Amino acid sequence: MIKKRLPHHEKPSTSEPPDSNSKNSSILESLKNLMTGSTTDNKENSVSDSEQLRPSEIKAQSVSSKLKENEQYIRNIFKNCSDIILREIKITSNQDYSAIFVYLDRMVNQDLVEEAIVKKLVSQPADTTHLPNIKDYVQYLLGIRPEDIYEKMDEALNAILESKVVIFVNGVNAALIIDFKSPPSRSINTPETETSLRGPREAFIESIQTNIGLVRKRIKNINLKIEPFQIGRQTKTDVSICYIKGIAHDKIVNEVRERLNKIDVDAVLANTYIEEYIEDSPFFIFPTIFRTERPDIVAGKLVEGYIAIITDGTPIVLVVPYLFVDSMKATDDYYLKYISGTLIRWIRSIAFFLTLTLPGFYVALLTFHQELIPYGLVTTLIKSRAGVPLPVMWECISMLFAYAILKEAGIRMPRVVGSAVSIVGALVLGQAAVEAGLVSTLTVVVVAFSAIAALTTPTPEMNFYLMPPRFMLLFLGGTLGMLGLIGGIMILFVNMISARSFGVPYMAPLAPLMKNELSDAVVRAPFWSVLKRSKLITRTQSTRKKPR
Amino acid sequence: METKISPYQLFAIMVLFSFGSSILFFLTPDAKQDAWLVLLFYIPVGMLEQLMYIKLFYQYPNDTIVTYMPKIFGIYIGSLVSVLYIIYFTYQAGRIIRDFTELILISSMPEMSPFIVAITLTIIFVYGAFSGLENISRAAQLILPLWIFIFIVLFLLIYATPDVVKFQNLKPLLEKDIPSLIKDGWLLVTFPYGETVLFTMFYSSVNDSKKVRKISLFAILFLGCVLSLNTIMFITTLGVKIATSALFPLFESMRLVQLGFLSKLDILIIIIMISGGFFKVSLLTYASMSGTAQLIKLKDPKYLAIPFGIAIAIISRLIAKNYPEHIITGLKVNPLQVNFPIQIIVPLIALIVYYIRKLLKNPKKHNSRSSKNK
Repeated sequence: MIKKRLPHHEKPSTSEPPDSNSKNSSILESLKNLMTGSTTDNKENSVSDSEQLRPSEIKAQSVSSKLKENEQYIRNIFKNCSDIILREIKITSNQDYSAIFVYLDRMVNQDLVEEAIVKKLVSQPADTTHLPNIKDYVQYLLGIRPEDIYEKMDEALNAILESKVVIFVNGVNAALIIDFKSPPSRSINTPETETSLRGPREAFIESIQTNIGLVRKRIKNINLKIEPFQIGRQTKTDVSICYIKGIAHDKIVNEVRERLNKIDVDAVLANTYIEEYIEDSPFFIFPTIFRTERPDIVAGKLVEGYIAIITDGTPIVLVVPYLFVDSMKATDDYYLKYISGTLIRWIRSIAFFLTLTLPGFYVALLTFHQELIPYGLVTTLIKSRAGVPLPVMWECISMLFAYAILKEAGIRMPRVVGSAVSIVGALVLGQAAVEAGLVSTLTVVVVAFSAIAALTTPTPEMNFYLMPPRFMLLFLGGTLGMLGLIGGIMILFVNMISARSFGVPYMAPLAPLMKNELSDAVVRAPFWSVLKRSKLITRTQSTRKKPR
Repeated sequence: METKISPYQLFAIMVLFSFGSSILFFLTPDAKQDAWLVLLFYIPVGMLEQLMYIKLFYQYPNDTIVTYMPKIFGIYIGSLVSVLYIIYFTYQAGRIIRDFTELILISSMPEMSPFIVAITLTIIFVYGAFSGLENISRAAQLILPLWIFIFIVLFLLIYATPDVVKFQNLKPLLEKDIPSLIKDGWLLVTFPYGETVLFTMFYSSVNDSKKVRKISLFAILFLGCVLSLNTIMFITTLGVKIATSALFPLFESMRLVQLGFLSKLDILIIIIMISGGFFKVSLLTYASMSGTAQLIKLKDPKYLAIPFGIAIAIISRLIAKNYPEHIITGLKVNPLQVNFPIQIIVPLIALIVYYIRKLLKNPKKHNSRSSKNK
């Protein structure tokens, strides 16, 4: 086994002027820093940062047929990158045929490199000398695709950065690429935020290949297309869009492609970066792009004609278009029998409405419309509100504010102090505040109910989106009574109707009303009765199957 | 035109627009307990009006009333008429804002400043106009079934409440003879049926123009029947005297619901009121906005909502010093001096002028011109 780490040496290359080399190395270093997360010495950066690298300089460089020149060039480019590995071997142990392979440490599968490259190339007996064509020999021995052979240096460099193994052979003016990519990642876990009672327990992870695999595993179909993109000037993050050709509407797919191509951003470290660039209306309060960590949901959506956007480094997959009715659907609806599935969906919708309006309604009732309070409740109300210092609107606002703080603390706190926070939250802010006469019991009930009801929405972050409208309606209810509350609901409603997600009306199929689409929106109709795919998403009336 | 609505959406906005305020009042108080009959008698009249508007629309299938008036009357008089219509829509929107301001003040918030209520209502309603006809009609499509459901529930509740509904209030049937009843109810020509002159602005936005006639006639029929039922409910629950003198009989009668824990349904009424007012004012505002945009050749009328909103809010406060004055203007002055000419006389003259011009000109020539318009 040959395994040696070559030391850095800073001799300038003969083919390149020294000036441009230092430029090259500086930008690639910063690239490297982003990928590995290491902090290199600032001194070096600050010196070379003043000079900008022109990508055309790298682009112009082609792979030399002399091995030494290539080696020199790569060493210069990856100056101060300690994680680059260059290894020299002799093919068939013949001194005449030397080769170098280059890769990033810990980003490739080390065992495979030893097994499939080093052993195969070296272990052939030495007497089969005088290879007529060394390039073909290496290519066919290792099984490298013709499109993985690059003649340009920049392509080879990109391949290294994409954690592939690049082989330079002496006398061949091309770089051969083998994909033994295995960047550090974790194994597939159970979903943490989107829990399901009876659904599958797999969740996406940070690796795009694994995520695509998780989807592909569920849809064994030649029409499942996966189109790669690279976004981010510095990070060059892999992004793929998945759709099923023939089901997904071409117009929406094109729209997604166009919007992704338009993105020009430095770094894509999570898919929120992409999300904000491809959203329809940035000022709309609810999300118009669906996020999920469950491959079964993505597979289910793809079959319906939706389009998934998978980003490397994020365990969340984006699905477009996203309609309001989709936010009322949970996976469990489909794993339950349809009657209970429908009922649960209704309960969820009612909870959604209540969580938005209940505090506002309560405040409006107590501030302006006391005559509407049922008689039985009046005495209890008076008793509980006696001695409460704040007016009911401010009481409600402060309680909701306290809840928001508690929730935020609950997300940020380390797990070890969790019990302390929950005790303080439940006892001090709840019970003690009531006993001290700071807030009335009914207010606590209303606020707590609205907080709990928000958790029924299947999308976990819907919680955060519900907060601003809830505060708004509460404020309107407290200042303008029922008029303000209902006006606020009307405005929110019209706002939701006028929103769009990738050209599809957000409130469809409710407004505009589409009778045929309601079978999977208002109710969860049994699978055997839903024969047609949603025309909204696919735009053509395609059938899932023929009626029996 | 860019915005397109479906025939069913047209039906929904027509019904909700007409119901918006007419359902709150006791129409034709002169006819007393036979008011519901008068409402039924006038359904054909409302249909005739509708046919007149649609006849005009079918002559110019791609134009609104604002753009075909100049084509009929010539550019100068026609543009003046168009401006008149825009002013009329704006004025009507102001009047309705005033109606609802007073209603909300009287019914649920007597201590609130009328200015604040008027401004709030204007913001809510004009936001609808801002979002455009397409979105208004989508909202209407969703809200119409909800409205009908709420009304059925309210009707059932009030008829289920013991000792509230007295059918003998409807007697004596036909106290006056039919001609005098028809004479009593002539105001129905202008309100609610004549108000549909607004939809001459929207017919050209319907994506299936062949269905427009059928749909709008059906909407009028539906409107007449429901209003008649509504009036029967007023008379049977409140009695003729209270029903005719009450400011908002719908409100009064719904307060009578007392069925176990189901009482004080004011909230439902407020919901109905605000949503009804929403469609009424936002459609009127949108009509005047888009009319202005069509006259001055503006592409997107969206931001005209702001000046029109301000104008409407100001008009709503300026038209009358107090509620009685507002009512008197609305019942006595307006129908004769404003509504009747705008809703009936001008379209009628337009239709006559159109046919005269058609007769005077070579019919062949005319055909080529109308095909150009398409």
